[in-house]
Amino acid sequence: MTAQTMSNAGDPAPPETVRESRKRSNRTGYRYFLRRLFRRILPRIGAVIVVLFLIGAVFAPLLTPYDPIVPDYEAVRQPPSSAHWMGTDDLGRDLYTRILYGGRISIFAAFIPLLISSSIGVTLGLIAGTVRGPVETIIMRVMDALLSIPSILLMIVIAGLLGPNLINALIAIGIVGVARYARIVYAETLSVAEREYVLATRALGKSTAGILFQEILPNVTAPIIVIASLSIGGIILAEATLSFLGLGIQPPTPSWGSMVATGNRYLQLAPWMSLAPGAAIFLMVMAVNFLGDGVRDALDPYLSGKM
Amino acid sequence: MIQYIIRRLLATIPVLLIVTFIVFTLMFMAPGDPIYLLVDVEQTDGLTEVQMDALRHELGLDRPLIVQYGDWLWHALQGDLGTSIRGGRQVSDMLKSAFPVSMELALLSIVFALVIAIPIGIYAALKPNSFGDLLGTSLAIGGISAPNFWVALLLVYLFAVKLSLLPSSGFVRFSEDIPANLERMVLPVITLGIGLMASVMRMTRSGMLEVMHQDYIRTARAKGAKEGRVVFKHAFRNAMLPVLTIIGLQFGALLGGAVVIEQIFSLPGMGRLGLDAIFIRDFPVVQGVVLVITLSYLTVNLVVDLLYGLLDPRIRVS
Repeated sequence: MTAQTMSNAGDPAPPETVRESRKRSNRTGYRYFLRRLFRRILPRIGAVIVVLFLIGAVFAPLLTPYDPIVPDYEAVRQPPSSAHWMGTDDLGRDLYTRILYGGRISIFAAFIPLLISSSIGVTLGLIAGTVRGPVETIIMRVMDALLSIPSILLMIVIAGLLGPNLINALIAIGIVGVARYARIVYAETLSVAEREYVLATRALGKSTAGILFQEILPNVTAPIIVIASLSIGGIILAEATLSFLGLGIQPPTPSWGSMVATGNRYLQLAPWMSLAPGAAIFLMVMAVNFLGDGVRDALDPYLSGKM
Repeated sequence: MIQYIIRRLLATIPVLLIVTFIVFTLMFMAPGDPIYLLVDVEQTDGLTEVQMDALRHELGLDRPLIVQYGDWLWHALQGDLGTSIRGGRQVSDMLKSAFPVSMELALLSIVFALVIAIPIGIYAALKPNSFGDLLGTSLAIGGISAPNFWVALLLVYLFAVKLSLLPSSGFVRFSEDIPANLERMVLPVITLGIGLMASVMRMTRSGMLEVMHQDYIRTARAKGAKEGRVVFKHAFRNAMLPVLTIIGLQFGALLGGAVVIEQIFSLPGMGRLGLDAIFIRDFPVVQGVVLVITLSYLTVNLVVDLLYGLLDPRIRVS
């Protein structure tokens, strides 16, 4: 935990000063966090790979002369060469180009499920932890049930029933992630709510909502960030898997998972078609996992290797 | 003990009810009129809206969600999971033929993962920060990050296309021809086992590292026990407990991963059954597959918890 939560906890100073000092300690806490994060080699490697992929996705039109969607029937299934250094696909499109553009879907789409699962999960966890009673029982029982269905299966069922397209796939991935946030926020809320400073603010007449957002939420942010950073890799993988199965993005828009699926049909004739996009998924997910591990270690050394 | 088992079994009932209800609700909310799934198009062709409503009423589709769910549940409790909308086969029969395939795949994957991961994990823990340890850790992170469908394609390309060592697809039942069955299971098992292997390796390493610093290890050494005995008799047993938990927890991921793997290798397991059913909106089959997979997952975790008590006398359940 950083200085931020400490100053939050029991600072008796008047409001302005509290805000001031919180701002200052936030900044130093942030620096401290970054220093701890990049102390080790793997998070540094991860960051470099992620930044390279991000640049590739954002500046794709500047980095390649080809179009990711328009077919070129004179260059069908060409092996890697100087003109197409990752080869071309069954419609003659340059694979390197499609991987760059595909990154736009595979990387940026990851944030939608992240937002869905964290916002719903955190809300449900906070509600269950403060309201208690039957509401608590129902919410947490449903979360337990969600966790007992293998996540890929649940995603497939939700995405399949909503109909195969990218948005539905992202919603499915987001829903499946809800339970993890709800559980940890619920547990943290229960423990924080009983602490003396929270009881004291309650005694001073603070409303439940005020206690929730000003006292409890700041205390559960660290575990939320840890879960979020550890789950991005899984989200990218999930989107790729759903697209691979034909439940995610639909052609001709490129995404890494669907490119591997197309390549699967030409494994004997043109192995590069599935190898290259698969390697992109692998590298990206590994890099994000390195970073996620680093974030966890930096925020909470005690959790290292345990989550 | 028996009381504990009964209590745990009872606790799975609400979970199963909620799971099946969630899936039922999803199917209820799914776009598209379910009547077209139950009745041939020729039959509904040219029917007026009133006649359609009558047909819906006849099929019970106009009843509220909760009543329809209750109806399904009532039949499910009697072992009747309905019939597939395609071909009209009994869902329970389809599950019966698919279940052993998925279980074989999952169990062999666990064996594969343990055989590879435990020795490497122990080695990594005994020589922390060595080259071998670094290699093991990288392998573990790689194993978690690699998309399993891609690993499957790499293995097929290498072993089936390039080296022609193993068949890439096709399936032979275990009961029909064991060697042929196992030969076709090699690549799916490796693919599915890699993820679990990575987790087991990490868990074995951290478990062993923790145990090796305990007082009783020092005591064992002090009384002159040989290093091999210290490692395997004193440390290993204790380090294996978290590994057991991981296997239980990861069993769900195995069953989920099997959906993808079975699709790639054309294995007629539950995952493939469910996935095919999703695409054609064969709701009874989808519901049946989710039910059986969830039930297997819960059962495995119950068994793991019971084993835990057997292996570690300190945490005998009261």
